[in-house]
Amino acid sequence: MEHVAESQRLEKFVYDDDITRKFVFATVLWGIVGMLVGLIVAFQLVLPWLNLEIEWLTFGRLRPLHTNAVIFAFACNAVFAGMYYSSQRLLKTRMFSDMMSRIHFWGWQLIIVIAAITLPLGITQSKEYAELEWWVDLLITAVWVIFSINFFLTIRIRRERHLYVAIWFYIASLIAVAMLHLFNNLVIPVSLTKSYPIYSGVQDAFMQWWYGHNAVAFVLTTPFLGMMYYFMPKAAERPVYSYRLSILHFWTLIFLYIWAGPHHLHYTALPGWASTLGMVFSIMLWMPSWGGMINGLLTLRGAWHKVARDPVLKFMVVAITFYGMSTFEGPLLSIKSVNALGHYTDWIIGHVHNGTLGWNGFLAFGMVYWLMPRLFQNTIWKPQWVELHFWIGTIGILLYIVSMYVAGITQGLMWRAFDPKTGLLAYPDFVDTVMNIRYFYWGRALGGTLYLTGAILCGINLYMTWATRTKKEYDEEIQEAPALQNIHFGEMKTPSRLRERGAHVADIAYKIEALIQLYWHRKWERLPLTLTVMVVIAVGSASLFEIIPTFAIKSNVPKIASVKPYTPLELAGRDIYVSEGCYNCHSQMVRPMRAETERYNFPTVDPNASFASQSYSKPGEFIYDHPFQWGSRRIGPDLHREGGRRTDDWHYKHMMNPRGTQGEVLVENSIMPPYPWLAHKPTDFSILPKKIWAMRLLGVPYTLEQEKTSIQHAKAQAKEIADRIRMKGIPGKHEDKQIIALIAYLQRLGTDILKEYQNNRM
Amino acid sequence: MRISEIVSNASRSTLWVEMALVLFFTVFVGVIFYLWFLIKPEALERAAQMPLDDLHPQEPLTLPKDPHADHAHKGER
Ligand code: HEC
Repeated sequence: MEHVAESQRLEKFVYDDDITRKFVFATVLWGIVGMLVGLIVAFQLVLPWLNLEIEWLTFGRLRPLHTNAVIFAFACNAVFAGMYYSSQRLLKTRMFSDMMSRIHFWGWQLIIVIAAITLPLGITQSKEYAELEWWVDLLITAVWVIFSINFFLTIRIRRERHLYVAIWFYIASLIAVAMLHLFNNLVIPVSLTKSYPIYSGVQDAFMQWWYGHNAVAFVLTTPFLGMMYYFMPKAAERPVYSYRLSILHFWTLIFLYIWAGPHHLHYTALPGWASTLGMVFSIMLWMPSWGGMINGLLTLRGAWHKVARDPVLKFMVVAITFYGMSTFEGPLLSIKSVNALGHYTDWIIGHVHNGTLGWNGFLAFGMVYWLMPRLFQNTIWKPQWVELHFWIGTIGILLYIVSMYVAGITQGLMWRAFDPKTGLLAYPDFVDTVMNIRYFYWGRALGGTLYLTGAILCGINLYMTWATRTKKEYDEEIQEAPALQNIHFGEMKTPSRLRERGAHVADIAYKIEALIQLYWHRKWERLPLTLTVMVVIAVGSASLFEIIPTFAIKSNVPKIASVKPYTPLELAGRDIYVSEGCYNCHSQMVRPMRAETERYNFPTVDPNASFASQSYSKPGEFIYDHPFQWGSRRIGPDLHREGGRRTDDWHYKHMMNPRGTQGEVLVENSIMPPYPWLAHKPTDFSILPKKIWAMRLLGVPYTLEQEKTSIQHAKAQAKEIADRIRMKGIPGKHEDKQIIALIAYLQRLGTDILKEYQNNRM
Repeated sequence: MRISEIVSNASRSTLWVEMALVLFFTVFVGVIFYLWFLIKPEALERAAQMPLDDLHPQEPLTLPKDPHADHAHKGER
């Protein structure tokens, strides 16, 4: 047989390390940028003047930039670097298409640059880690698809029969991220800068945290575990402790993770059973996580003495230890009663940074230092800096997380403390609870500074190791192996049609044609496919048992007759709230606990009224909220019952400067940023009909009449509010300004349900 | 009957939690069984060596003599 003979010809190939070099540079560069933005927002919380009264630089807009930069620019680029390097070697083949690898690289960097521009401009969907607007999401999808095709086709042309477990983790990441990204970003675009998610309220919150938690799972955990299973044996120069355990780790982890999302929504308006489901699976997650940690650490069996000498191993050992710490803490925080204390506090911020700075950051840096001499074929410029980076980084993490634990638990306890003598809240003034933790905010900022300094050392070292390399052309190790592509071409069902026609197409077209025609009949050929299908079933089963009931059980969201859609002006105000990123500091979800219903009571209701204690948020109150604004951290107070708490002019002054002016002190120690531009920037009235149209499409019961008259209606309501604040002595003409729309929204918040109570129960 | 009705009428709301748990334990037991009884230890050992050699496949994929038979390699997935 001709193709058998052909297949025995030896073929030469080299791994594509240029793509790894690119991603390594991007990792460190964006890492420094993302951490710097993080440090700026950390300082803004102790020195609010650092918001500089510049809209692009306020906390609410920079915080999403920080999270997006460190997750999608730093961590993802590290993942891509690790994947390109390890996959080619584990599969013993060059990437299927160099061109696709380049498109992936440059496409991803383009997305990062777009994020760095649009987020400070306030262009956001307001879903945490899914803030980028719809057209950027489309771009992400396109790049991800190209990356995935390239990756799967590389598996297809591999020279190694078995797929090493790292590749499994990569496959799971590719599939799950695609699924999460698609389902959480289903929106109706209104313009290039605005869209509304198809889900609302409870369901939107559920989808968001299904996404949010699995972003932790499939962006920050599984690909990093894949890297751990490759680079740890590399650095330790011995195989993983137990390969069997690694496979068990893989299946249990991907099966369990996908269910855990609802633990972000304990005691919210999410149905109790979903919350319990999330809790149970989160607790179970502890086991595979620790199995993986032990497996990683025991890879060093008999080689612990190397750790003392080798900073790369130090980074990795500490990274894996932090993986263990944060995966112990995660299940702990998902226990409802613990969560009741920790939720909305800095404890969560501490937990997150335990995982990201410790596990992701240190594994990434360990990998970068391991790769540096190999990729640049040069010794590391300043080896002693690596050791230094390790130590200041470690001290930085500890300072950061300890500060956040103390701050979080302190504030959580203060929120719920009652004065035993009066039986009333011990700290009714929210700002008191903020003032109490400001020293820990300084501690965090200092920890962050140390960590960033380490990253900068890494950046300089990386650049100099590259710049001082002696060879401008890298030596490329040439591998020899039986010619695989010929096997494929030999197996084509029919001769190449492209060749027959003498078509002038790029070589990649022949490759694709050959692949399309392949028989997929042998076991090793089906292996990646089988694995992929099993992964889809594992992550998809959660949709079956968690997502469908959440959406389908009618009693999850009992209707409340008096809850009505927002007026056009309030809708405009809500969109400003979204765009300014107020949700980064304010929740809109009063939990059913006395400490909460006391603090976030119905401001306009007599405390003796029969329903006065029922100010906790009900699922039916959010049905027109596209997107939901429940938030995840209370740097400021909850705002769900804000409507009617303050006067319009108070809001005006507070938004202009929360601390007040020289003449009039408002909230002396507030750390909220000022928003003076809201008094100058005009509200976009002209887009309102389009917005109402989109809302109607989503099932919000506006009439066609309301859509058509939305502009007049909004202007009339704006005039009323503007007149009221003018009468209170605030000069200027504000009816067409954003501040008025925002006030309209704030005054509406959480008030609809009162009518229901007043009609039924009084 | 629509899905929403079926799901809403399911008698107890914890049913979903219980079903999810049963599903998980089935998968868990399945994976354990597979790992300890179906797969050969040598295959696991070979696989574990993979990251340590970037040049040579542990088990190279060359075309078998008879391209339609794949019996030469057995005992692992
Ligand atoms: C850096 C975090 C932060 C951001 C961002 C932020 N706030 Fe605040 N906010 C606070 C803090 C802290 C307080 C409590 C102190 C105070 O009243 O100023 C507060 C208080 C408030 C209050 C007063 C609540 C009351 O009745 O006592 C309102 C209203 C408010 N914020 C609205 C907003 C709006 C609207 C935005 C977005 C445009 C926003 N905040 C953005 C931190 C923030």
